[in-house]
Amino acid sequence: MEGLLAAARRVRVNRYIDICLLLFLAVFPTFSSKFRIDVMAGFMAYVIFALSLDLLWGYTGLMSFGHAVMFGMGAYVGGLTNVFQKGVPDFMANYGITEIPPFFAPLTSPALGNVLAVILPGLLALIIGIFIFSSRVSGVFFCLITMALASAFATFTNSTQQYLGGSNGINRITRFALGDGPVDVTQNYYIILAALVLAYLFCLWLVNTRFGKALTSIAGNEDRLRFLGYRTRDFKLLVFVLSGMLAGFAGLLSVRTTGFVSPVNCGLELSTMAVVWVAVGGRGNLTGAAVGTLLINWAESILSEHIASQWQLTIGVILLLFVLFMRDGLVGAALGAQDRRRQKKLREAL
Amino acid sequence: MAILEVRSLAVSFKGFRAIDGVDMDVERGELRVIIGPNGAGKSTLMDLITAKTRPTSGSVIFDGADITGLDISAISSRHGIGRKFQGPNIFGGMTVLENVELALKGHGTLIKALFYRRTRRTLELIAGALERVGLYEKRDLPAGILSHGEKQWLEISMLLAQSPKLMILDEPTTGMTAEETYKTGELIMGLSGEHTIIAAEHDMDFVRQVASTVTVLHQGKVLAEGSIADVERDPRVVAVYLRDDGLESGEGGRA
Ligand SMILES: Nc1ncnc2c1ncn2[C@@H]1O[C@H](COP(=O)(O)OP(=O)(O)OP(=O)(O)O)[C@@H](O)[C@H]1O
Ligand SMILES: [Mg+2]
Repeated sequence: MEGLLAAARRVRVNRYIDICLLLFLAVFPTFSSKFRIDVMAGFMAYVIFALSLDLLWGYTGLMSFGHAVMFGMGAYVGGLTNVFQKGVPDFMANYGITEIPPFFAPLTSPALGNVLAVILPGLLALIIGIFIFSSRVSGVFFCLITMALASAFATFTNSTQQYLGGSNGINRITRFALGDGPVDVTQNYYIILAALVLAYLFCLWLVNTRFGKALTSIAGNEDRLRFLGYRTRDFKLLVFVLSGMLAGFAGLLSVRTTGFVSPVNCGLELSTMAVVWVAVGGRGNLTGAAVGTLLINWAESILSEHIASQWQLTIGVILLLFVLFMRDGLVGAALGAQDRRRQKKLREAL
Repeated sequence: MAILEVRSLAVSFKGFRAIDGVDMDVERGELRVIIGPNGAGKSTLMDLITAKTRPTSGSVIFDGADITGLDISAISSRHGIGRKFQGPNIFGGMTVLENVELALKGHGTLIKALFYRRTRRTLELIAGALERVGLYEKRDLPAGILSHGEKQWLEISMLLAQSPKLMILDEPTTGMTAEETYKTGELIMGLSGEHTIIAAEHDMDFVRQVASTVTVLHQGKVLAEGSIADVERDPRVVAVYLRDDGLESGEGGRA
């Protein structure tokens, strides 16, 4: 029993938060309205998106202001795949298109289309990554390039009326199908929850490998790591690709939950919001990404009914407060307090 | 034959010649100490040898291969040159053991990093490297809470985990107490022979203790080279360095 207690005390606090969060999410549908269940499912897809940003920014120190592009690509590819199952969508038909264009042919297969919703964002990340990381640009430059990417992607989707629905985007996307038809709200909720658990476990595995430790060290002191014989460029490239794929996966889940995707879902705004979620929850521990995403999104959904016009301002103030007074975010602060207590004990024991 | 041959190496930063035509041969297993006043170019010379900085001219030949301007990671992984920077450079968030584990030779490629497993063999290698510097007992502490001196030893231990042919140590005793400095001297003497070592130092007690060949740098040029006794007697060295820095009394050379 004492051994068990000692072991429990050695666990880092965020693992307890993880378990509480999981239990809460597992029982959430039992006491919530259909509407709330559906909203929460959408937020859980956002959590996966935030996890992907945490790998990139929290662990590796690469702050992206364009990560919503990866999310949006997954959403668009997943959305198109879904609407193509019912033939040529209206936004195409309005332009006199009577057959699905040949370059969209792979998306007529649901399986291939859904896989591509994950693969293509990874491919985009690979191409951009090769360009960015081989020229050894600085962190600020990475921010700027990803930011430019976000506006380019929004402009592209906005202006591609006949293929991507322009500013209206793609609507009437149905939920995942199980058996003979789309699942209901609660079933969809649990599909997303299962996907979230898998994504979380994958991230947890990844950051605990030697690869993950190398990522953390890149954020800390990249040159030091290069002198230890690591080709850090390859490491950054792989994490960028994995993070892009995970963001695409989140986009796919999101679009099949909310039923629509438009340029607003994948521009600078969502990219910035994801940075805020991770900053508020705390970066570099996964738990923070989840906590921050759920807190901010629920706050937005509840408060914006009352203070809709001031919501942007509120978010700005929140971000400022965290940057000034709680740099490590909520979970980061809890972890920091625990670490300090432990180190004090260790010092006393020496 | 020398394991390291530095040939008319030079680099300028915006016209300022930080290293200005340096020739230097280091024999296999030798312990070479580089001294010189602040700004003499010691760290820059190390940057050039380890490809952190590209030379304006000249070349670096290591173990028969031209390594001038290679990729930094290849300097370590392919050619076996390990480098410790000036001041501690450890990963404070990880434990002492994890720091050495991260440095362990031969696991730096992507695939190996993803599927690396801690085995009895890797643990033995890590333990060996830690025992060498006397930090094995502290292996589970967060590296960030080690003392300044211990951090420097941890870095040396990380280098050992790389089993480098050449170890480059930039001011390994900075910030150490006299006792720690002495212990570091013993440690480094113990490592030479097995490894070739180049160390930059200010602490003359350390230099006398390890009593090896000394290269004196001054304004980017080699001013003198030889045993510590010869160098200390050299009037040019006394003029530019020993006298005005008060180093003869072994007080350290911080300006
Ligand atoms: N990247 C750089 N750009 C411009 N100047 C540089 C650069 N690196 C070094 N220098 C200059 O080159 C000179 C030599 O510096 P270096 O750091 O090699 O001296 P050092 O002998 O290691 O001194 P210290 O004992 O203080 O460590 C200094 O004047 C320094 O300002
Ligand atoms: Mg120096």
